[in-house]
Amino acid sequence: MDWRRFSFIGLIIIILFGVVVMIGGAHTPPLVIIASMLATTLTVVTPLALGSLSGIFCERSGVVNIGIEGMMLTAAFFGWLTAIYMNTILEFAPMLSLILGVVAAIFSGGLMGLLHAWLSITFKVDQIIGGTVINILAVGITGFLNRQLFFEKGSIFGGNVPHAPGLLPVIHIPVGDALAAVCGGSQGCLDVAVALGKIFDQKPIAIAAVLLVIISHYVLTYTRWGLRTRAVGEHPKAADTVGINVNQTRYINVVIGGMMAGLAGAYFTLESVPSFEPLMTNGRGFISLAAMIFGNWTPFGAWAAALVFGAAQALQINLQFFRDFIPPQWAFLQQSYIVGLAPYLLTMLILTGIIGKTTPPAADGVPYEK
Amino acid sequence: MTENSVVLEAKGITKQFPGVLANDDVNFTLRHGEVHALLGENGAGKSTLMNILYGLYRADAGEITVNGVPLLLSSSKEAIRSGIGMVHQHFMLVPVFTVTENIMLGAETDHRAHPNEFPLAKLDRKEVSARVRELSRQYGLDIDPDTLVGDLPVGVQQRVEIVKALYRKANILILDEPTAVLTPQEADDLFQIMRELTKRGVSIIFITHKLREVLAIADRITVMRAGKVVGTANPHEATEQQLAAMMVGREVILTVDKTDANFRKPFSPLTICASVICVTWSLCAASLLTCALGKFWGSPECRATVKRNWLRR
Repeated sequence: MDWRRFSFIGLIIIILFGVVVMIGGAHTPPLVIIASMLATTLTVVTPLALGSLSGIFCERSGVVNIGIEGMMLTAAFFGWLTAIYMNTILEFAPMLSLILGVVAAIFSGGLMGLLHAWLSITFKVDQIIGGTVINILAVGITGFLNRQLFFEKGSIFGGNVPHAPGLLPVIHIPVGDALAAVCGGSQGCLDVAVALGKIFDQKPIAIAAVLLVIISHYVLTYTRWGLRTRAVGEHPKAADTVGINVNQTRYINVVIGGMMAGLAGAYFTLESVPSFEPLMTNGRGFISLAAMIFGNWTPFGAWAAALVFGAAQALQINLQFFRDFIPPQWAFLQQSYIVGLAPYLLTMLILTGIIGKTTPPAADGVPYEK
Repeated sequence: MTENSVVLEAKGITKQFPGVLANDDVNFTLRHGEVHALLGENGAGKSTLMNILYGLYRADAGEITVNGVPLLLSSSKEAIRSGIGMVHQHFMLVPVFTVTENIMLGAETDHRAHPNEFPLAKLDRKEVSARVRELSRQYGLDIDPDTLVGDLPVGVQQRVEIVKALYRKANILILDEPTAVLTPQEADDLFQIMRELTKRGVSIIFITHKLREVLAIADRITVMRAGKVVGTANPHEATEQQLAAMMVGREVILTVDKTDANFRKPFSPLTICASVICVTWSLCAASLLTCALGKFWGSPECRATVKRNWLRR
């Protein structure tokens, strides 16, 4: 990540935030709007950040992973399935069912990662095709099971969906309280403090995503495992000659990547909305792939790029609050589907490579032959 | 360790690849502190033998002993552990890593008194780069541990490879065609480094097919041909002629006897006349053929042309 990339990201985020501030500014203090945008951005960036981490772990070890989308979708389904099934048994403890759901999501993501590793490392299948297989398989398996389990007569749940155990709760980090205490009596200051506090009131997977970005950066840069992973992705033969088991390293990294995507999947059904719909990941896996590429295969870079997409989504969400204030010449912004295009348009814009070229790991996508 | 004691011995090494017998009952010994040149044509089986010694390939038959201890090689890890280091013809360095990172790769914590095998152990770049500096000073290698390997010239990359082996406490060093990628000046520097290494008790296997270099640096020469050891030679007595004959299996003429080329003027009148005639006639023939074979045939223009130019002459 060079400064040009970061400043480009900053510029786009400022523009996206600026649109909302300009529209809602007459009604709400700008600082409150910005804080609210930031809070939403951090929430919606979760699956993108985790998805791009998934890609980073796979591709840094030399396995192209375009199956992030499928891994997320599978994990979203199986996490949700586990959570509601456990909830029918453990009705008294919805939190426990939710946690088991998250564990199941991570596990099923890991299994999909294992499948991808098996195809692309053991059988040396073309990795793009392997990833596509995962995506198609995920759509098929989740759609099929969703129908069979819930919406068919005589299915396990008898045609009606049982109670969901709810959603993972917000973890309150008392930054807002501390700021409010400093404020004294002023109401305006208090509003801002509360709004800023909301940035830190995030749900567990969102917090885990931020922590995992930092942890992944540390692991890849400063630890033995990271050094070996990068070596395997750059020059596997060199790694082999110093006694590193190339395929084993790749296997483990792809499974870790799958688990990251699994956690991203859990976000959809256990943290965002308490239901599963077919195709609910809605291209997030591919957007996170774009974020990974724009971030030059580094955790912080990918996270920063994911923030752009997050901000675009936050724009869509926050504009709804200010629908009535949209000036007539910007009437097209009232159509939420037009604003909803923003993340996808940004993906294309960013992938055109206007901000310099990125360099993937040298052995990315090349199966290792002794 | 006494002088002339055998540090490495390979007995009856045989390796079969699909369709080719790369090594056929090869015997090879390396003595302490010597430069043992392994000479042979391309495809003679030198590199295969070295890859077996380094644990990258597994021999079909034969055994290897290092300092009298039999060695079971299943990966290069064991070879490294028993003190064998190898500098490959194509360097095994990651270009986007620093020198330090390249050297510590695979041996990140082994240098410590209490190796910490935990995979998430923090890398100690400082300690390793200090060790690299020390090693490069000791052997006169002149390496900056903090530069990216991709930015270094080939000769320096080779020295990084040597330090990489020394860092792993190698006392047997395999150099696979080290001079192939070097300029003559860099090759001389390498020979200097090799002498320094042998002086400090490192034994070197020097793989090459360049006769002059062998005679310049080697203490002993083994020649391979078509997967077999065909003989050994003493560099003080052998000549390039003899070595080449051993390599190829017949007498080789290293200098060509020839008389001066018979110089002719390129544009003698005869040549000019001949070429003008040739060109004219071929053009005529071409036009006739085009006329005759093309769909143009039968048209009055064509027949007229043909008659005018060819038939009424």
